[in-house]
Amino acid sequence: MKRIFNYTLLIIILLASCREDDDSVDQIIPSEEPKIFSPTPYSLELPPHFNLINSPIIPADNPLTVEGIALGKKLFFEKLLSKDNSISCASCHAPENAFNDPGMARSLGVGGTMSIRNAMPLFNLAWGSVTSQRFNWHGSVTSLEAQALGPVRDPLEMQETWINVASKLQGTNDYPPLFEKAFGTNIIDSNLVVKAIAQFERTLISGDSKFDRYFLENELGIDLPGNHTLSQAEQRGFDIFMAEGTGDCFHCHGTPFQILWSNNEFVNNGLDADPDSGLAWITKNPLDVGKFKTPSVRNLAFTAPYMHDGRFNTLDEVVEFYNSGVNNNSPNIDGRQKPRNLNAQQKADLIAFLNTLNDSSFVRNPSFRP
Amino acid sequence: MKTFNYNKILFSALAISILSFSSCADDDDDKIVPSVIPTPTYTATINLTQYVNDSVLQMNTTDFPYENALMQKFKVTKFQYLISNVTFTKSDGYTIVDEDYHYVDLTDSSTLSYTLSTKIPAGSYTSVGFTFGFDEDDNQSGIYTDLNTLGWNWPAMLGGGYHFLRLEGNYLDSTNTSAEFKTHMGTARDNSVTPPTFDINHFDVSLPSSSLTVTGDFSFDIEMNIEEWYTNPTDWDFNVWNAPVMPIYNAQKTLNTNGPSVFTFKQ
Repeated sequence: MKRIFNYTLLIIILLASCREDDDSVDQIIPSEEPKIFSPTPYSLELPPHFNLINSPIIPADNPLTVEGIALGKKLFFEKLLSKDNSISCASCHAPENAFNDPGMARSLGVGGTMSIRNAMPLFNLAWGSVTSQRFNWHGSVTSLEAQALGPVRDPLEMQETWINVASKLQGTNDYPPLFEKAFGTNIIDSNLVVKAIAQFERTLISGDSKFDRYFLENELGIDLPGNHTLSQAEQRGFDIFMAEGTGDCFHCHGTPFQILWSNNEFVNNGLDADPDSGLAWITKNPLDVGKFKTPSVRNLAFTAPYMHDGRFNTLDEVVEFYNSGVNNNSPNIDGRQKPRNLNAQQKADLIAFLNTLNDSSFVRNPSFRP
Repeated sequence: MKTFNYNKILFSALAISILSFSSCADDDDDKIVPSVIPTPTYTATINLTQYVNDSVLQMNTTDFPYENALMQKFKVTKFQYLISNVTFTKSDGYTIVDEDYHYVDLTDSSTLSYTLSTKIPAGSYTSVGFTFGFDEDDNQSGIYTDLNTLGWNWPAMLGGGYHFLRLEGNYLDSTNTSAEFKTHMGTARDNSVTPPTFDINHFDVSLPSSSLTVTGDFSFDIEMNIEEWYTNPTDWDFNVWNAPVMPIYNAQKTLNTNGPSVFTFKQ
């Protein structure tokens, strides 16, 4: 198919040459070699224990390439995507905060409009379709590509049209050749922009926390430089996390073998008696009212505030909510939401464990910076 | 492990055949040695069906349509389970085991049909059986990527391995109020002794009246009567064992002893 395209291109160039200069019919050597579109395939670099779960699903129509990922990163930090060229994806998804919006319960769009949800952190999204068919807090889209379409045209976020974005990018000197390299065309459209952004997002892999190293060395027997143990408080906190009778966090937030630390299912955790519609906004199913995507408990130190509306500023507040603050009259509430009766020591231990899942090498990774 | 290596037999048959032919070639007179013809094998497909007594299970009902042996009304909201090592046995004791496992989630209809990877030789079998959950050899923590992905792991402090069953729903408690039950089953930890001991909690099912004759690709149903998880021999009281039950040794062992009568065979 590629070869056919190249020959076609050559013929077109030859014909064009003929028409332009029909005096010199005998000098029809094309002035330029036909460009060959051959981006460099890219394989995700996975931490060794990430083969414990099913492999990431890369869409067949958007394979990872070095050129596509580089373009996607540039676009992720590109403010031309917004109406007044003031904000980029990274404005609400900052790399130093595990691609969350630092300190903001609800992110601000162009002109300071406030969005309705807390910006989700972005990592390990390549497995998004492995464990769930839906992205976003309320499951509004079914692929990373589709997700990236939304914020640009959202009236509370970037407030731009895709026609304008394509036109603005087309008018720059640097973008058209980058699209040519990544996708074989310098004609920019929304479809290619979101493909590139999704490629970059799939490379955001976080799996190098203290707990990861502890688990690799002590449970999987992989020798790592240095000494990787958990403190007594962290170990006790892990036990609370994993015990159905105390914390019972693991049924939703995963186990050491479920390396994402979330089942990515949609659950009503009982925040409100009259909850936000959540997943039901999409499915129109009353049994989905109040259900939101279970977030990973990785990188919590970087992603405050917490919950879909950012109502809790600290992990202490979150743990206390699950311990004693659940609203059991909430419709479709998950049955695990019941008073936990953890004492102060247990709560502190649980938080100590949660903090072992912070991956500071991820938030400092220069590959994820502009 | 009760294993029959069918591939080994096939290989031997093939080897004998090849040897036979080689002999002929080496010695081209008319001493034709008959070669062993392998028994034809066929594909088995199992349909997994779930009932409450005589009615097909309906999930996520608004009312409480079912009643356990203690007359406690309940409904079901989640139902997932695991079977492994489907086994076919002949009257002479010959068995063939499909050494694989199958995860069932009632919200995913694709999991309700299970085609065995092992082809079953033609012949008459006196019974079909399987393991509910994983046996000791198979119940190793972390070794199944698809089950890890689902978060189906059983905590190490309870003995590790995997969940065998997640049967969840609501029941009407003693004050007629809806309350949750989460019947999860896996390794049973006995905390009454120090250090705690762990009982491998799978059970082997030999399906009653499950004789069949294989003459071509075939299918049959494994029916589950959910009611039986909660009775026979021990009546299960939702007011006592609702959630959590994973760390309760007696609850785990009760599921183990109630479980075998849950399944029936239909072809």
